[in-house]
Amino acid sequence: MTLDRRTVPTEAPEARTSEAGSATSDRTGRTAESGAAADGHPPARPDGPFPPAAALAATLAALAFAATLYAWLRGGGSIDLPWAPTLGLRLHFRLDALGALYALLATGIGAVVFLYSGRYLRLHLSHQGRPARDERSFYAFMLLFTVSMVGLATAQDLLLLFVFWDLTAIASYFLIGFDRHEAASWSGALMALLVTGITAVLLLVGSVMLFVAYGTFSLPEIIAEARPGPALTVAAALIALAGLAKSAQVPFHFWLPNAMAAPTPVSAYLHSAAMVAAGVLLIGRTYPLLQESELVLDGMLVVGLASMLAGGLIALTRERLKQVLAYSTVAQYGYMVALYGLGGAAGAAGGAFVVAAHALAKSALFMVSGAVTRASGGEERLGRLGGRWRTMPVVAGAGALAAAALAGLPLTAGFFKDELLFKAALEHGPVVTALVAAGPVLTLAYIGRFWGRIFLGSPKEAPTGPRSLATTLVAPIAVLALISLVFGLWTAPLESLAAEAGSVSLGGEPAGLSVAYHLDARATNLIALGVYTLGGLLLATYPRWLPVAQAFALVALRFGPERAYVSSLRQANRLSSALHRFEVRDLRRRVAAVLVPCGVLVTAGFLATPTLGQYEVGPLDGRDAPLAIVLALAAAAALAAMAPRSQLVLVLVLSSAGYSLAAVFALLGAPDVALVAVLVETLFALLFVAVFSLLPGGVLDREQSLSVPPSRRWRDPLIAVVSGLFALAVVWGTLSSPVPRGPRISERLIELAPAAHAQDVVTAILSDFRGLDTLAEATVLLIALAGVGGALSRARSS
Amino acid sequence: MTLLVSVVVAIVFGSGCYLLLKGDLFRVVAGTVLISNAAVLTLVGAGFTRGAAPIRPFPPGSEVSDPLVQALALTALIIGFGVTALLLTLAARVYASSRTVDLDQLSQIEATREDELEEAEA
Amino acid sequence: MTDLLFLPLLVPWLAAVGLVLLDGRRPGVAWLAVGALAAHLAALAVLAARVFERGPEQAVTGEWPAGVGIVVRADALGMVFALLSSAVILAALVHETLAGVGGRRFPALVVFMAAGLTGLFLARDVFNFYVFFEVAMISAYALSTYGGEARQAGAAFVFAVVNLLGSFLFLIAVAGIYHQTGTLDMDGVTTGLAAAGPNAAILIAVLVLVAFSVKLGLFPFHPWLPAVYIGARPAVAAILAGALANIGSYGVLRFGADLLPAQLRAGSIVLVVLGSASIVYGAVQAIGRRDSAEVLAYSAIGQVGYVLVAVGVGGAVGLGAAVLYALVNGLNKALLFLSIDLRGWLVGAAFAVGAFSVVGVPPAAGFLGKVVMFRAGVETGSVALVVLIFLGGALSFLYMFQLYQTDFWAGAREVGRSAPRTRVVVLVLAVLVLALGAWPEPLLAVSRDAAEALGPEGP
Repeated sequence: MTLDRRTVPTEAPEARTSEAGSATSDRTGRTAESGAAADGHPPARPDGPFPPAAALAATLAALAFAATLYAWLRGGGSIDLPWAPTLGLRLHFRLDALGALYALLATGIGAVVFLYSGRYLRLHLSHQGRPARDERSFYAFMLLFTVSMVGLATAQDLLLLFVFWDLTAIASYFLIGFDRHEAASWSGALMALLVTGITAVLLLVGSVMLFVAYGTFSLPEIIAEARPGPALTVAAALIALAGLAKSAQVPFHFWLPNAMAAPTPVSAYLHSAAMVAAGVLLIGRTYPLLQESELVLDGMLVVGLASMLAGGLIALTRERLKQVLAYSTVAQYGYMVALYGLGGAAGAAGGAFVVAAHALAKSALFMVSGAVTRASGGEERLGRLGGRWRTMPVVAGAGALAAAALAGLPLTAGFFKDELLFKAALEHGPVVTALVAAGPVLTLAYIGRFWGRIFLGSPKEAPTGPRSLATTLVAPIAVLALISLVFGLWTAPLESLAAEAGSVSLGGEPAGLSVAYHLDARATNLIALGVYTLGGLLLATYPRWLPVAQAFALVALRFGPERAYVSSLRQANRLSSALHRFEVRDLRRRVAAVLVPCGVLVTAGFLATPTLGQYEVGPLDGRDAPLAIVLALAAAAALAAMAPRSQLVLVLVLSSAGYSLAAVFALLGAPDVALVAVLVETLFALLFVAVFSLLPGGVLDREQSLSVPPSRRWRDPLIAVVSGLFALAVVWGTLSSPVPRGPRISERLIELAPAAHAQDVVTAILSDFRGLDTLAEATVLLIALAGVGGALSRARSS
Repeated sequence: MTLLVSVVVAIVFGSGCYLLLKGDLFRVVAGTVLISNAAVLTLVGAGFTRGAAPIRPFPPGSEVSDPLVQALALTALIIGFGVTALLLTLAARVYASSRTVDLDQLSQIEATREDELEEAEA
Repeated sequence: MTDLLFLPLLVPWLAAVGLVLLDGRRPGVAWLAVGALAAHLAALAVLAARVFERGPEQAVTGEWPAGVGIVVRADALGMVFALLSSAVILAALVHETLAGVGGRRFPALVVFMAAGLTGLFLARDVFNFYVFFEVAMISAYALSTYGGEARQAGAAFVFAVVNLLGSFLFLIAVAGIYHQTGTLDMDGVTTGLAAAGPNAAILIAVLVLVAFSVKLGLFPFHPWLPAVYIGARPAVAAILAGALANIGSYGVLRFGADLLPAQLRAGSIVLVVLGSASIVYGAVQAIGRRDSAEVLAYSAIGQVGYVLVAVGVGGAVGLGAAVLYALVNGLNKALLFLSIDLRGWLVGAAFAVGAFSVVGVPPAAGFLGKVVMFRAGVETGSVALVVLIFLGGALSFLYMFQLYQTDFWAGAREVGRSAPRTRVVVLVLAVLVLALGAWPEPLLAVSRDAAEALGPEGP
């Protein structure tokens, strides 16, 4: 099972999204398993008092919201503390309009969602047979997310921004993996982390590029200094890419539908209103840099439009509630990205406005889907629902409001998000306008389908969930839907906040934003009317169009980026396994892995430097004849050591090589070394013989008669020859003069030896001048002794 | 002289490497001994002067051998001895637990164990 | 003044000589070793504080002239690596002591290794460096058999053979250095090598590079490494990866940037290529591995590649990046390897901190490593280098979190819980990694100072 999960990190997309999937039975199958793993704690109960953790979280978020609002109304403010002076990093936060907008969204929607989570999570846990204490980590990560989002919204330093950026990804990762026993959570969490985490590195690279260019990570300072140029374009493009991935834009969008494995409150908060918004926030925050490059703006426009259309089309075909909403989120963030891509005051301020309008509506809709699913015994397929308005009228009403807001119907804040889009698009000609208008048409159709198939018609199956929903599951939906309505009627607060936020994005230029109803035949109104008509038509006739959309969805899923992700993961694992088969596992090749590259590097060094006149033969006269003979003897003994079949002969040959070398040392005027060498060689010979005596007779000779495979018959000697040659090059090369110009330390040693009270200079060196070496050398012997003792005692016992 | 010492070092080192590439535990230890000897010979060969032993009183008229390389060679010899002795006992212990001196068989055992480990994890 | 210079070396040395006579399986003995190491670390910290404040401190053994006696010097670079290594060793020893020491000589060997490493980081003499290097290595050979399994003896044998080969190559390089410069004192060696023949100097540089690459476990010298790490006890693996491997990073920095700067510049492309190959090779191998120790072993191979690349880039930024990356990597590996045998959600959280640190996600300290690496890459203007660092990071995301999820979400390590005391060290390390990331100034400042200690390549 695990192996499958690793090599196949996600279920094949068509299987997961197939309409006849048996996810429900799968889910119940796993319930037992996860319940058994719960360490003997009793499973959570769906009823009982409101969970205190949720109450605490909601209170904290509400307080944070109030504090943010108060601070903003009092004119913002900023904190600026040193952080890491070495890199000039500062803990610099400022509550400007852009920061206030996102901080208010994060804390406000957070408070509402926490309230909703209290009851929802207990139902969720009890459905899975898990203990109530599992919810602690849920609230911890949700709160971590809220804090990170506020930090992200107000951070003015690029590295600080990056820290909070990744903190939101960490919170998201653990929340998607909340149901860690489910395969979908396993792969969905990994996917979200890989896509958002790896693209976050692009933000880091872009920031570092700006740091290298301008010497600071401080965003206001960079914006003040920035001059257009290729370096700025690349940095801006990298930062924009990170933002696009976080906002689930094509081609990075696929992580979002898979993130729906998280419990619904997470989807309602992180994956619709807040974390996904972080991408757009980053774009808004760095917009003064991004808009320096037409290329980046055009790229954003293209990506935004593509996301808008692809997301809308696929949303039309999805069967699971949260999948519809996830693809809708992809499409809706496409609006914002397209607005920023269109540029100018309308784009920057419009982007900010749409974020808020969308967040309210989408968060409410996710909570609707959660409430419906919980009230239907876990059913989350549109085809099995229907007629739910009878059992849950309040949810149906609030859902209708939220759907209307998403679809941009008048009297809701959503109306203006479409209007702003049209207005910005009109400046860019009819083609862009037409493409842009296609988005709302699709929105109207898919969200109408979503709402209608849940609440209208007749129930396909009798609801099996609780008869009535807890107030805390319904009220949050109503609150958000009503706020959406209020801002549709009383536009001033949102309008001014968005205008000021847009001005921040434009680097201080005022961004006029007029949001009001005009009952006249202006272009935006005409487009809106056209959109309603076409959208309504599409909604009425969508079964006829569905095959087209389904074909598109199928192609997109089968050949799209998600498939590329899945297959690249699979390929990476496969490549790794293939490579591992070539991994060296025997000592011979481990040794060769040192010798061969060493030979290559020595050759390279040899070829790269002048060698003429660097090598000298050295003086050799008749006096040296004995020395030459002993040296030749040592060499001959070493060569002979390669041949013997019997290990005892090998030891003898080895010893004779050692003794020959001792004679060499003696002839070179090193009697001390010669003596120790004799001693050491003798000890070696004894040790070898002692060890051999532990082994049964004949084993050594028998094993040595093993035949050598033909491939090795030439390779081993070849490597040995190569090693000998590079040793020759190195030793000859380094032992040849140039004799150093300065005084040699050995002359000083000879002079100073009497001062060390020794007749033998070598003794003086060992005992006094370099006594530290001798002490350490004795330590080596001591450790060797300890190791030998340990190894031998264990060898005997085994 | 320099060339002669270098050639001998190369031969001893190369023979040692050949033994390291051999298929049995104790030849590998023997190879290490040879390579250790090659390094010590290099150290002694790195001396600047050649002549009488550097023990006072120096014989008049002749140069004194470089004492520093001798001290280094001594230290290196003893360190080499310590490490190689440990290696030899390790070899004995490997033999005692696996009942083979054939390194190919040993790497087979290692590979099997790794595969088992992988299967256990999976 | 010199009293304090030798104290961090003397304390573990004397303690270890005493400990080797005692039975380390007795808890009292193990705690004695912990006490000795703690005292050693404290002495080191005091010395380091002085070095960072007032600059390097130097002494010559026997108060002989420099070169006649051995020069011992504490500078910022040595202090940084000594502190890291000793902290990792102490963490591993405490961890093993809490879990129960299973070997008679384990505490003594661990303390010996601390002494050897400290001596090596303090040595300002190439041969003295070699001797302490061997003290640390022979402790490591003996330690790697710890744990008792039969296979481990084979792995220790492989470890010893391959690393001995590396050591002897280094010794040959030391002989060459002496013949070319007439001295062993590093200051004299630096000036001597600058005047030496280019061929001899480059050949010495090659041998030194090979010797340290073997210690680091750099591709293609790496094949000994997985064999040793996989079967080793977690504490031993943590020591090898978090402390012993520092010899390689420190050695490349000290011998490359300090002693052989011209050769480093000439061969920078080799370093970058070797490092890059290691990054990619280690990461790709790690992706398909199932066992935590295996993944971490290959991850270690990949991570040291960054250090080498940064050294290859050179300059104040590159060398600072190399130091910082080596520091963070040492801590990460200690944390992750020590957690291998443990289970429970707290261990999972600590492991996740380590995993986020490896991939470079803040606030875990690893992100600083990525920041400085990208800075070094961007400053060279090499797109290929930036892409490589990005790619290496992306692959590490895949292998770390595949492993994390398999172990803690769907595997054996999610069920059950380890005894609370065995988790202490891992949790402390995790908090440390988080704290260093959240307050990055110390890491950034010490790595800058350490890079500045590196002679001519510094700013």
